[in-house]
Amino acid sequence: MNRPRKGARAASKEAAAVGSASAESVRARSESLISALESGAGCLPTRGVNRAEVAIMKAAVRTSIVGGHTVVALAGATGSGKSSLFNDLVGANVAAIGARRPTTSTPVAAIWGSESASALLDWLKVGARHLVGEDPSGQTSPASPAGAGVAPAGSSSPGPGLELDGLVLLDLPDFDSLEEAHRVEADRLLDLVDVFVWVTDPQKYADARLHEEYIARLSAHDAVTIVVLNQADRLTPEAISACRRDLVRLLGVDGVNGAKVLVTSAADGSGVIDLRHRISSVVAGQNAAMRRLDSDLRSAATVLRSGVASSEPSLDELDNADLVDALGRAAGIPVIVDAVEKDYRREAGARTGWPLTRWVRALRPAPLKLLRLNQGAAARSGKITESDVRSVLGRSSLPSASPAARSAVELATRELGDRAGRGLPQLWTDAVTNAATPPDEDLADVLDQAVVSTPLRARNPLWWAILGALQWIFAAAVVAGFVWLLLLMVLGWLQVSAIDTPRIGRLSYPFLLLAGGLVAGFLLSQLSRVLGRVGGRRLKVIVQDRLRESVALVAREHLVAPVQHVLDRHRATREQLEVARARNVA
Amino acid sequence: MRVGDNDAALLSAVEQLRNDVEVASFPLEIPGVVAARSLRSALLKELDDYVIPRLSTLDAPLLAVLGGSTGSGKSTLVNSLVGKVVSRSGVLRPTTRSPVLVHHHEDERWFTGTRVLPRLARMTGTDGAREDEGAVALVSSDTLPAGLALLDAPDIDSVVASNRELARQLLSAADLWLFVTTAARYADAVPWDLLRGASERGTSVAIVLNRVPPEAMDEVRSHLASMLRERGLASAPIFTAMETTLTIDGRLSEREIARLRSWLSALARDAKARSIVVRRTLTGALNSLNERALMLSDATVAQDAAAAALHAEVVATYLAAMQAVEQGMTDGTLLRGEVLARWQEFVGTGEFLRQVEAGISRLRDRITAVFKGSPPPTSDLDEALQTGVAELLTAQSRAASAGVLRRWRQLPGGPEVVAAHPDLATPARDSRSRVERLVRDWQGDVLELVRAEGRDRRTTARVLSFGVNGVGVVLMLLVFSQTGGITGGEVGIAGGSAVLAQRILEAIFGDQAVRDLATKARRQLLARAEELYAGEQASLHAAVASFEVGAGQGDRLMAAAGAVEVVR
Repeated sequence: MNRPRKGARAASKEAAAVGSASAESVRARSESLISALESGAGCLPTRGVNRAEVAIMKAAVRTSIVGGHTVVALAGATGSGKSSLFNDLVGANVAAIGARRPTTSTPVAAIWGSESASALLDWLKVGARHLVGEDPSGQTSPASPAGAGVAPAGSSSPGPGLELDGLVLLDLPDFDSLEEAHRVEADRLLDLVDVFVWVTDPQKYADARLHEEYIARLSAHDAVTIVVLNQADRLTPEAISACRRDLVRLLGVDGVNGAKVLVTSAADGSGVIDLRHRISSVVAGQNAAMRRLDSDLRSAATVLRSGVASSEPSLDELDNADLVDALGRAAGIPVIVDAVEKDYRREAGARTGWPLTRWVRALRPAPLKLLRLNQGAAARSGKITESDVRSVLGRSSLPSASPAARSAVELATRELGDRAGRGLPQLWTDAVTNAATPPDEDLADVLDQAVVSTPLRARNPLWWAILGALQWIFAAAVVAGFVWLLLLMVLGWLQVSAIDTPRIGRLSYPFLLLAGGLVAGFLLSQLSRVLGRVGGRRLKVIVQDRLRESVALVAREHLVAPVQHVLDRHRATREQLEVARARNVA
Repeated sequence: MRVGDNDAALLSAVEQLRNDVEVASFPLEIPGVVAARSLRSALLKELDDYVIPRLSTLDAPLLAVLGGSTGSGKSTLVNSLVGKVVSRSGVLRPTTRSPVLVHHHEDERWFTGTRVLPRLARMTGTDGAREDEGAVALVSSDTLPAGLALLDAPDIDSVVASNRELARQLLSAADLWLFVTTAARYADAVPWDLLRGASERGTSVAIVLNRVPPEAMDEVRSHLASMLRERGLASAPIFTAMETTLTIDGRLSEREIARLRSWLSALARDAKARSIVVRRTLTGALNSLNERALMLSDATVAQDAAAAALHAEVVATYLAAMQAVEQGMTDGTLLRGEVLARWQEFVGTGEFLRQVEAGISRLRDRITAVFKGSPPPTSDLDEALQTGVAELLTAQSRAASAGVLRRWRQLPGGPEVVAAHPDLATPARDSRSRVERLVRDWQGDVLELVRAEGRDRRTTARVLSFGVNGVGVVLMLLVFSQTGGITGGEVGIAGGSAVLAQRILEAIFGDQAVRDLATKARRQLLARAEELYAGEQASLHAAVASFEVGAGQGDRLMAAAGAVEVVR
């Protein structure tokens, strides 16, 4: 089992692979993850968020601890020989070993190199610390805050050319014994360490707990993983290599591809030098810590990624006609346009009707005035009317929307939410639905504002003036003819000799003036009625379009825009998460 | 307890319980359902594999199952006990994948049939070299004493999930557990979980502590013994075997297993001792039946409760929808907007309304004037009312169904119901037309009411002068306004129209009759709406029902378990 050269080669390859993670990439990943958490606030699964927060916190704390230490943990089942291996690596009997299972109940740390690792070990909450000194006498940490047991001084015997400076080696409690506390402690430390060394043995190498609950689960972390098949002295070399092949196969199933399995025996010391080489190369790479943090952040981002869809529905493709219809009905558009049409006809009549009977129409109320929407008229006359005050206050006198119309709006907005939220995870769908369904009163208010601020009249058409003038001319003709006839009648009554009245054929001028004026006026008013009806219809269409435009604007601003905002947040979250889980961040 | 007194009655009671357990189901995904389902299948397997076969043939050979962790040397132990290789042993884990049952050749008849382990196929004529997963290899041996059979089970804790499953099933079929562990394993959590179960049930257990380094024997053995004592297994004998080199053919040396062999032989020879072991385990199994049946019954209750909560959500939501409809119809809000505009058109102009207060008599005259001659077309108002009511009903129904689904997604077991019935999320295609038909039908009701009211009165002529349709529409209008819940400025507009409508109708029918008519018409509309919503609720209830357990499942389980208790 002595293959130092091969071990060294593997180690240098390892170091090259590790080179991808750096403090910068950890920071960049953290930042992406933080902004993803911000933009996705309230819409991401709590467990994923907690995990990401833990990873971010951990990255922040770990990177703030000075010193280029690499924390390597020996983890495994009870009785696999973790503590024996630990003692072999340290070169002193630091960890207790024994036949009684489970043996190790609290983690023990060994620190190589002169740099102080107290802050790191305080953070790891490992009390028992052993300093592996360069001089054979060794030294133990004088005062450890956690009140650690002072380990006996031992001699370290690093092999020639082996650089273990900066290594913090942890002997973890087991994770498969009856002592639940051991498992909890092992789990806690496995979340924090930089390098996993899974120690197993020919008896336990296929245990479900080791593979399913530890190696497979932590393989996603893509931290440096070393697998050790210990207690090799118990089997023949053929048997041990068969075991090793089988273990490699199982590791492949766990998702640890191309895993190298080191075969060691703590009892006779074989293979320990290989392990030492391996650990030393990882330590020399010096970024196992960054790599672990990096992969933690990445896997947190991967978990969160399942909380967002891979794309957002596009709102541009959505046809909002139903929504605008419903809002329009809630805003009272049908009532308004009817009033507008009637108002136009009334106005047309008032301006082009027969002048002698026009005043009757004035007695009827203007339809728009009833709705307090005739601000156009006020603007024309230059007077301040009640409607101006109303429009300043921002309320029309439109009857408030019926529950049916309100329900129609609710349906339409819910529809919008459903369509916009399609294909998104539940939490996002809820957020979209909330954005698409603002409270009733708010919507009613903005709709009313939109209606009030929409001009409901057009410029007075030219034909009103022409027909109006003609009507006056004809009316003048009628009056003139009437006065003339009256004069003739009075003259006749007074027996004044008749003055010749000009005639056309048998009909006298005054009669022609009177009758012609009447007939022409009547015909003209009929014409104006027809024109008024046509014009009213046209104005109705125009105003309807304007109102729909205003309402569509309301829909865009108050319904579609908030939904779009949620979708944008979703997009931002997704993109940030993609960045955070990308292999290379920069 | 004395097994044998009324075996037949006990057997039939247990079989009844077995049948009830078999048909029991736990379809709703509520917390704890996974445990209930596995409890059910475990109980069923145990009844089939052990309790029923053991009860029906109390004198059958004792079945000792060797169970334990992977790599603890179960197969090696069996091979050593039998004296030949019957089960493959090796260094690769897990080694044993299919169980091997070794019996004396006289006992063969007990094991070839489906008496024990009816779900597993039998395989004979092999020497353990070939492996066929899921089948029991039967090996006859003369080394083993008659009256005792050894079953080499797969491991309980390796990565192969089917092994773990099968091992648990086999252990539950055992009269005696021979639990094999090692010096490295004896504190593992997984085996102790199983041992705790065995101790709770009272199963007979013997421990084989294998592969112990000679120097650690005393320490490990005493530690194991104290652990057994702490967990109520003090009576379990411990047999030990040193970690030694195996013989050429891969067996333990006879010295290591001598004690175990003699214990087993003594057990096989002594019918009384054997029956004590059998009865102890059987009693334990029977004792546990009641509790486990109760747990299943509790799980059934939880299922029922979850289903009831889902049902209750439907009822509550639709009740609220119904109230909202009622409120929408009676608070006058339906009269706003378009309906109001049409109504104003119907009776004249807005100006007209302003003078309503001017006095009833003048008012009446003017209205009559309005209606005299040709009654004005009512279709616009009619349609506005229709659309209003239809939309109110549709909106409330959709809001209710969407609300139910939303709540279901949050309730335990609900998401699966929603997922299993995707059609619930979209409204039925004919829902709109159904609502519209409902409103039309109701209009028919109203017209019928008007006709009936007018028939036996002198009012007929007056009704005719307005047109039945006209009066009907006015009555509908009144239905939507009668409680007069309108407040503030709205009274001027909506209230005015209601007052006017009421005056018109009073002029025709008289005030008491008008009130009756309006109440009747409203009740009819509400009844129809209720009917419509009942139909929608039915499909939601049906969706829950498809996830419900059969009625009386819990009671049947309790009764069957009670019957077993009584017969014992």
